[in-house]
Amino acid sequence: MSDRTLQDELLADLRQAAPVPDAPPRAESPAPEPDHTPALQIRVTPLRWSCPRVRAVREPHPTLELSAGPVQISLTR
Amino acid sequence: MRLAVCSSKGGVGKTTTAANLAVALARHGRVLAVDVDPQDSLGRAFGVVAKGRDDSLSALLEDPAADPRTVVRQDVAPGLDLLPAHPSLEPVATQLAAMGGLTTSVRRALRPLRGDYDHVVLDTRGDLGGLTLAAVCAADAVLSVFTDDPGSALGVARVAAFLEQHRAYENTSAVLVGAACVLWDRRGGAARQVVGALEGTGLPLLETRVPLSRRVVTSTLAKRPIVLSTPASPAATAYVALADEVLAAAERVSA
Repeated sequence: MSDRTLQDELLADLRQAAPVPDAPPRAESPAPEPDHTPALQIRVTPLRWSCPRVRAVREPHPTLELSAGPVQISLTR
Repeated sequence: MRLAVCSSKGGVGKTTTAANLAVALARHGRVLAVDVDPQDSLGRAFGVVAKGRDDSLSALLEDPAADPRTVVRQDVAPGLDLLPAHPSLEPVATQLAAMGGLTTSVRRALRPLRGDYDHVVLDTRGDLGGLTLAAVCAADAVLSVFTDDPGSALGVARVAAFLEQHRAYENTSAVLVGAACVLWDRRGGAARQVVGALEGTGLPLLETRVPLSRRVVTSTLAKRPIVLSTPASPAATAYVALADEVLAAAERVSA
């Protein structure tokens, strides 16, 4: 076995012996999860009319958008 | 600087290093050497042997009201005082651990002496148990040592992980100021491989290497660290350079 291999093996052992230490127990409560309460939003855009359409969006949250003339309705789950 | 000399492995030269660094640091100011190993080897390196628990570190850990100055041996070398250990340290530590007071015990015992010394050097046993943690908690800097034995390099890596863990737990604020090769055989390939592997870990390696020397063994038998007994020898010169390097590293870290 070459010197280089022996050194590499020792280095691997050393990296195993000195792992990233575990985080200490945290006293604080974990950060709250983002609010995913379903939301209904209605917007009226008198200066911008659109053709009637329905669109589904997946990101960042599943949303159904309905547009007709000056009215846009979005329902986020 | 309050320096603990640590390795998770025994027989790698911790006590010899602690004794010689203590002597070398005494050139810069008043130094206290503290033996936190029940095998009481640091005291023996200076010819000091505690008779029992009452004249050793054990007494201070057992009785927090005890005056450490009654136990400290004055001037075991120029500028150097010594607080010896005794085998009774083992049961005393076990008792303190059961009561939850071991971790901070050495720090508490040394507190009355804080203003008396410029530097404190703590020798530890070859493990990462409760007494070693107590020594580290009394320190602000840690030096680990290794030889050409791959097991001693693992000892360095384990000290680094141990320190990180206990810094995270806020048991100590001590920092690993470096790891030093204290048995450097420039003709042998093993030491080079050990150094090469340690370099790959990113751990702080010190430049000073103490050369392999039979005089170090002879000085231990003579109960006079080589920095005292043969100050012009290459090993003694290296220990003096190592003390300076450790001190500079500790000052950098604390800045």
